[in-house]
Amino acid sequence: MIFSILIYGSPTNSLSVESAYRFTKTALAAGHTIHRVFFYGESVYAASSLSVTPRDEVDCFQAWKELAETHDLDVVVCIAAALKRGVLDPPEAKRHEKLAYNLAPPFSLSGLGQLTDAALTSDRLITFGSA
Amino acid sequence: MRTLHTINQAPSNSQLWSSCLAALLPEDTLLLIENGVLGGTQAHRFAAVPNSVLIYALTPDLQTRGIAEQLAPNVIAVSDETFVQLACEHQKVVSWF
Amino acid sequence: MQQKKLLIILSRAPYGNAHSKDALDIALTAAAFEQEVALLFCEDACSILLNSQQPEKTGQKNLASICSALPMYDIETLYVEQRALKENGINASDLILPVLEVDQAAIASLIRESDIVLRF
Repeated sequence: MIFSILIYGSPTNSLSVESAYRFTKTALAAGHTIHRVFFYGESVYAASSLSVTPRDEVDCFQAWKELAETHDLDVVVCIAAALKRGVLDPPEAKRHEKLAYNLAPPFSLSGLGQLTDAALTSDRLITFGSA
Repeated sequence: MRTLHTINQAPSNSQLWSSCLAALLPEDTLLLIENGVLGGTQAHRFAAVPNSVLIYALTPDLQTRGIAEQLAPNVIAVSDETFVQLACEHQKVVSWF
Repeated sequence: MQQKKLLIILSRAPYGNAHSKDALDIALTAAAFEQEVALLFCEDACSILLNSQQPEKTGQKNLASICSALPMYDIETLYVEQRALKENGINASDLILPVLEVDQAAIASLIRESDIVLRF
């Protein structure tokens, strides 16, 4: 089965990022394919390399980074949602004359077209969202 | 056309629960996840749901909240692996949040 | 290009959350990619379509204006939850576009008939 995952909840104020991680990891272990993971809305914060997680808490950025690198996942962050929330890669930081960038591989910025493609290409699109 | 519905909010979010339960068709399945598992301890919540609808609750989320032993008789605890399987067995997944 | 039936359900009030606009953006993008998109406005989301909105008064984007562009993207059918309209005392004539009122059974059918359902 080919899955794509849509994440739509804050990493710090919802369980969406964590639930999506568990599902993705489990699906991969069961031999399924993950076509794309699309971070939308508040979930874009999960892709920021500047977050500092307390030692006794799960570092969701690190967890997703390792999972994505291990399995060569296409972890896409919605560019519009990311920019307005201050999650930028080097080209966007330069383009908008911002002080720094905080988004790096394996994460990449892209538009909702990638979500549409994921919806069309995958057998299942699963959303993990929050208020 | 079987749909797997997931709900992740506690039942005090009555508007969400009412809309979700009203959308369940006899061939569908409901999976409680995250805080949605809190709704799994009271069978009466599902009184209006067609009898043929299977109701599951995700074990890690139940254990997190200390209610794995409190499930209503008509709610079955399932693993993350089963969640993935259910997603495969149903034509689509609708997430209620 | 492959075509799927996409149903996007909006359930939240027009302002004060990212969900409403984010859901509309998905709908417009999918429609631009020639997908069959249907929109359903439930619960508080019925207010998104009110034709009397002046969101510039509080620095907001006009969601009703965004919705009025939907037919240009071939999203012709806007479904609205009948119960929500009634509970909020909204008449179809208060809305910016023609809508199809649906009850719970029709909503369940809509969900069943769609290939992908996103509920915000």
